[in-house]
Amino acid sequence: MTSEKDITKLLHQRRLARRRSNNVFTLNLAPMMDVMFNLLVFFLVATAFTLPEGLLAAKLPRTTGISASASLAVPVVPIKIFLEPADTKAGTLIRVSTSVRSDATTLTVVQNFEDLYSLLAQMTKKPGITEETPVIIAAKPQTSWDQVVNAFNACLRAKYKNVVFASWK
Amino acid sequence: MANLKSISRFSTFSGRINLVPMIDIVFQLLVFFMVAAHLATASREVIKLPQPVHSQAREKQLENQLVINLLSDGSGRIMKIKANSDLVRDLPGLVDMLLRYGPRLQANKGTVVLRADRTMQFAQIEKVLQAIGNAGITSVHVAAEQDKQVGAKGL
Repeated sequence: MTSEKDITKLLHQRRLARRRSNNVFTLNLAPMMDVMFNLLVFFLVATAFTLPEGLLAAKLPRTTGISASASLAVPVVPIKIFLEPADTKAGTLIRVSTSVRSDATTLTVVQNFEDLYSLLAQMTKKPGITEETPVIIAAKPQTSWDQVVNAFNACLRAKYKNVVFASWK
Repeated sequence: MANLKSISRFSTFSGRINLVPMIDIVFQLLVFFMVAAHLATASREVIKLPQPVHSQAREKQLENQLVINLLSDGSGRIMKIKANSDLVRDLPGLVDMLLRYGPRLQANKGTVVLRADRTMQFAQIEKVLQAIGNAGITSVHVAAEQDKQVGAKGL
């Protein structure tokens, strides 16, 4: 049988041993390094180095080209946007051709794609032009894809639904 | 003696759970799934996409899609064509592939996602658009960069 005195002595000894061991300060770095490396890899993987990407929905006719698009049975004459690379290579010449009647065509030159959007948005308020009016983006072969998509984006921003691409030679 | 043993057993039990291995494993799993998700979208090449003013481009989850990546050689011409993750040798090769997969894509209400470099000439893109149209595919999605504000919101 162990007396109460023995138990007290044993506990006291253990307490002393613990106090002695506490005096030796050791820092285990391995778990910290584990976690730090994990955090590093996590942030490397999570960081997006590219800008977010989205999609612009488009519809293609069975065949492309102004002649093919013009043969569609449309109620009004379509709006045509002509894109031509500028001489300075800095931008694009944008011409917008509209006509409510087939014998009277208006050709408007706009400076940039913000103006193109404003023009297209204003047009929807005119009689005979709705959001269903076909829009043809005709671009010269040397026009950059960025400019063509900019024009397409301006059409979608102005809520036009039937937008097609065509080459302009 | 039995009493002493039971006391010593109690006194050594600290009741602490070491969280470090658990954090390690959780992080490892997190990174694994993030890398796996990234590899799932490997069909999307790193391309300088068009940057429209006030971009209307939005993220869309399309089920049946054929992603056509057009990489530029720097002078506005096509350097490399990749359809999903497969390298296509040239434009006629893409036309062949579209003619083969076009009807199946149309039947499954699929769409073509066109990802082209912003510096590319329209003449080059037009050939691809014609090929897509000739394959009987009328639904096309043009990839562009999102508006920075929309992108920041994560829409």
